[in-house]
Amino acid sequence: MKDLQTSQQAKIGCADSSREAHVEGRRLANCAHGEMCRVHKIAGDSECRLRLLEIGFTRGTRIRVVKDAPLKDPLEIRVKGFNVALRKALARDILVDQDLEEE
Amino acid sequence: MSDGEITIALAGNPNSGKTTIFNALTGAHQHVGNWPGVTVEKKEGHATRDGKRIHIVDLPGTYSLRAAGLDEQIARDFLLDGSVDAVVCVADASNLERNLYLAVQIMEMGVRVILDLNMIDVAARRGIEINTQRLSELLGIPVIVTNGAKGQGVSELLDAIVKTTAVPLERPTSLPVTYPSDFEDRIRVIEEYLQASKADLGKLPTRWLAIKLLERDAGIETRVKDIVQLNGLAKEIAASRERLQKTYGESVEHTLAGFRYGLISGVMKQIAQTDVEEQVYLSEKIDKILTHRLLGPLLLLVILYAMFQFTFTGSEPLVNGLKSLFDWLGDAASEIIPEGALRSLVKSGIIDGVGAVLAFTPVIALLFVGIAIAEDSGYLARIAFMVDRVLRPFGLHGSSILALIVSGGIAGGCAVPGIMATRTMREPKERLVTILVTPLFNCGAKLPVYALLTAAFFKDYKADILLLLTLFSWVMALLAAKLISSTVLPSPPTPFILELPPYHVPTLRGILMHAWERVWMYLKKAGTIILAISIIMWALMTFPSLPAEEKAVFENQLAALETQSADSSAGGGEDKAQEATKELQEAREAIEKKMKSAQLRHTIAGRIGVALEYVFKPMDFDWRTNIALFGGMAAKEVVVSTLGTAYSLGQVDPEESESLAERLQDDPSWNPVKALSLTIFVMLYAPCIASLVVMRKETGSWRWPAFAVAYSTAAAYGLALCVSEVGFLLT
Repeated sequence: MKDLQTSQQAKIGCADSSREAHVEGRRLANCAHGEMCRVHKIAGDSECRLRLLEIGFTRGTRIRVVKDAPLKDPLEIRVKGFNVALRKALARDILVDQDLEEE
Repeated sequence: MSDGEITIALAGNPNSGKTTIFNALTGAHQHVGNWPGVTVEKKEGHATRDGKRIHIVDLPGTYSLRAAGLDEQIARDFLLDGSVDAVVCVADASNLERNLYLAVQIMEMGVRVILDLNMIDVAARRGIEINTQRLSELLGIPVIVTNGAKGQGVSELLDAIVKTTAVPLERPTSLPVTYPSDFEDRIRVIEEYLQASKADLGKLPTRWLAIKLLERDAGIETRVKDIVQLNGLAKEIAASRERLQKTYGESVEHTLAGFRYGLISGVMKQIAQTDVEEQVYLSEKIDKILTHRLLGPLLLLVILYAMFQFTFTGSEPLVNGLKSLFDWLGDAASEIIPEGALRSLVKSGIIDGVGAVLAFTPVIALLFVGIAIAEDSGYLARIAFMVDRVLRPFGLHGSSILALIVSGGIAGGCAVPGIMATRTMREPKERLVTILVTPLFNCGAKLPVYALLTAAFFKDYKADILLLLTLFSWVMALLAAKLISSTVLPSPPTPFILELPPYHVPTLRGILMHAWERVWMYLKKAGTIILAISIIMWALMTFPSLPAEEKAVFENQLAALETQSADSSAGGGEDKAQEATKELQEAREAIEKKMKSAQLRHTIAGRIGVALEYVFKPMDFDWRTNIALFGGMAAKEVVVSTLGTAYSLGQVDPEESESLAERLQDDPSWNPVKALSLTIFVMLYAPCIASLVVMRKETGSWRWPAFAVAYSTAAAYGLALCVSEVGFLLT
């Protein structure tokens, strides 16, 4: 999937990764619902990255997009055995790999 | 440890069931206060075990101890201050990996830690098995299994507390987390600097300090600022950070967080049967309906409306009961105390003031019963999840919605419980914005004012006007939120990370304790100030009394009336006599009401009202309106009754204001434009004293209530002026 929205996200609080659009891997915000994937890297500013790390978005962690809110934003993500809602802008900063175990 | 008393801190993630453990440990022996200097609440309690008194402090729920947010800072400062004998870390057993992250951080601080695996029943239901024995060995700390909701394991937890604190604390030799050698080398070097400085570090363990300095933790850097700057340590830290960052390709704090999680997943592999993660849990199934794209918002509307009805309609009998009780007390007081200033003080100052304070309590109690159910069940987080997208553009947060609705987003609410409802918000900026806009909504006390003015000038459009006013208040509140969050508070929004905890059935005990806490806090903290201010307002609207010569004019009129009636009733039948008495009575009352109006104009408040005529000239508000608006700052329902007195109609009951409506209709100085302009002004101007006091309580300073008064009154004036100017052009 392509990073269609990267150019318009820089304005929103935590999301400041427009310059990193070339980074490999897909963005969590673009994953299909119910899809399993693994955290590859978190872009964006240091404070947001640390917060995500602290609640368990460490490299290699298996995560799953559960669903989105009725207005398509925020997203519900399952990580390390609990469910957390993230705004899409923040979810765009989370780069993921395909979960190989599933294939 | 102070003479046999043990001090325990209760730490844990949000949603780890920490509160149920706290309640189970302390029972009724608890009280709520605030952490020094901040508005985050501090719960303390005590328990007794083997003759030892255990003092238990409930720390705010946090995911980490990096002092990024206020909650984390409070938790960490308390642990650092060294008065704690041990920390009980409450962990959700069904969610252990993330919960251990906090436990490991606390262990790194070098304090005694007891790990409490809570909600073990939920874990069991999910097929998670935990080898607690092995966990205890691996971490080197006692591990107790509890089910807080049922009180299971609490006794064992108390035993563990007594046992652990009985042995003297040695610095742990086996470190909870060992980092790769290049990290350990740097940590050791910094430790040496710290030791060499011979500064008094209190109880701060040097290893932990060194790690925090390496992470460039702002809170710790300021604590040991002098040492860092003195002996080249700052340079050493900067160099170490740069080197480590080069090696690991990530900043030190990120790498360290990764290591901690690495250690934890290592532990998890040995103690828990993992990878049950991906079965679809009941909560996700429930959410298929509750946060469904169409059904979700629909159900949300129904639930919010039900909560609103429950709070306000449900509390009505109690509020009315309290009102009659205080009316009765007031009447009783007037019979006992002779007429004069004292009677007026007791009746209109004290009894009415206490009545006004207490009138809020049933509302607050029921609202917090509703909120506790929504919060403890897990639904509150789903509300925030669904509404966030709508409120975000205005600088608000999904969880603001509750406060907005309660404050009068549905007409008839109240800003006092609304402001208190923001306590469920963890985001400081969004919470402040929400608090500041709540008074703009149409609270129950403004409705009688609207009813009066609509009855007088827009009789045929009653329902439409209320709907329009509700929509208008939403527009104003959202606009104000947008303006405030982008100008006055321009910091970036708090990152939105909202946990959606599994649904569960709340306990009755938890709900009742929650509601009681809120009511008690309101009575204790806000009640006293509100009472004091109502007495001041009473004084302003009573003194100085009418000078003797002016009073004499009215008394002469009364006397003249008596003699006149005595003359006329001299000859005539019984019917005539009765009619005459009635007429006499009415004439007497008319004069008395005129006297009251003159008296009101003579008071300080009256003079302020007269002076304000200059300010409100463009809108044509005369002294009667101004004094009513002034009185309305105490409580908006006062507007109608004060207008009644000022228009010589006596005290008008806000619920039955027909006579006043007719009076205004007939008054040539009133017209629909003026009525509309006053309506807008009343909707927006200065929040009432009760909500200002609660605002002060919740924001921690008088700065924000002052700001709220200034901006809302300015907006009210501007818009009322617009209405009257446009209206003038059109008519």
